Amino acid sequence: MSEVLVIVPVYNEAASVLRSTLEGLRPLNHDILLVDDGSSDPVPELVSDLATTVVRHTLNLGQGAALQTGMEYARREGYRFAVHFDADGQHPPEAVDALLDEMQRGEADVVFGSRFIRADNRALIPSFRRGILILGKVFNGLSTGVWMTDAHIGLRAMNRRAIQCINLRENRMAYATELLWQLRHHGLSWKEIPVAVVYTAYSRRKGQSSWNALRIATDILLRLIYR
Amino acid sequence: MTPIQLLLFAALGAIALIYLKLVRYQLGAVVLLGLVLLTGCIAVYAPDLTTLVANRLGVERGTDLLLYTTVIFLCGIFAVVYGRFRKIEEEHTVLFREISLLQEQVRRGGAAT
Repeated sequence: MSEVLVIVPVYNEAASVLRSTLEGLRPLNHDILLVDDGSSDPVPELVSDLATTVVRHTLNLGQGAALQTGMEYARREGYRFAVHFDADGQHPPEAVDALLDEMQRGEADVVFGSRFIRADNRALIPSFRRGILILGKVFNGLSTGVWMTDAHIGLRAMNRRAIQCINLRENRMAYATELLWQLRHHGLSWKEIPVAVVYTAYSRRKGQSSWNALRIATDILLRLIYR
Repeated sequence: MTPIQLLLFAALGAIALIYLKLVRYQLGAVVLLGLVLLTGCIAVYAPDLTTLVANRLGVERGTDLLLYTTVIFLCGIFAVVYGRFRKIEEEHTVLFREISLLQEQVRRGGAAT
């Protein structure tokens, strides 16, 4: 068993994309956990020949719920590090080790990837999406007091302390903001490192719509009311 | 007493019985119910009294005051019920998570033996 668990939430992902993401991750020699969030075609059948662990939600609960299931698994199995990694092939696999290297220097409990630190990475983001992400950054900063350059990226690594403390209750995409509240609440340190995200036609079609930002904002406001 | 007053009294009585069964005779809930029912009965029996109270509060008609009160009351009920719905949804998620993790554990156990 590796001391690192890469958690990949999956929902109705194209088999070829999922396989390519997993094949990219395998050379890193970390344990991989797929959390199938109630896909119509059960994931275990798609990846039965690849040595990965699959946990399947019977119903679609949302990405936040899938990640928390992965974190619960990491906690029970005693992993030292957990990495969140999107299934749609947007993230370069080598970013996992870059996040872990930063964390192993002991400087932060949670290390986030950021598309906004380097200008060349920033330029890869479609302009409308970039505008929404900047608004999201301001909204997150105001509502959590944590000013990150890119809080809504699905690529982050955390150490055992963070795995033990963090308990995401937001099932959908607002979990990213809730995570920031929990960083503050538990006094967890954090850091961002630059990463490039590749927007393919598939990932843009499959990813959340920019207008979903309104739903995220509503979920965050409701969470503030019903803590 | 007019037929509509009789119907309204019957409706208030039925609501009281259902509510009492739901809250299982908890003191605070029963007192709240008593106050709401008493207000309802007064408003049904002597509708002009509502206008008197409305005028004291700066509202012209008793019906307007009743409408405002009803809207606020319904919004309050919505907020409480939605809070309970969210709590159930969270418990639901925890339950599904537990089932998923147990299923994985069983699969692994099966594979090991």
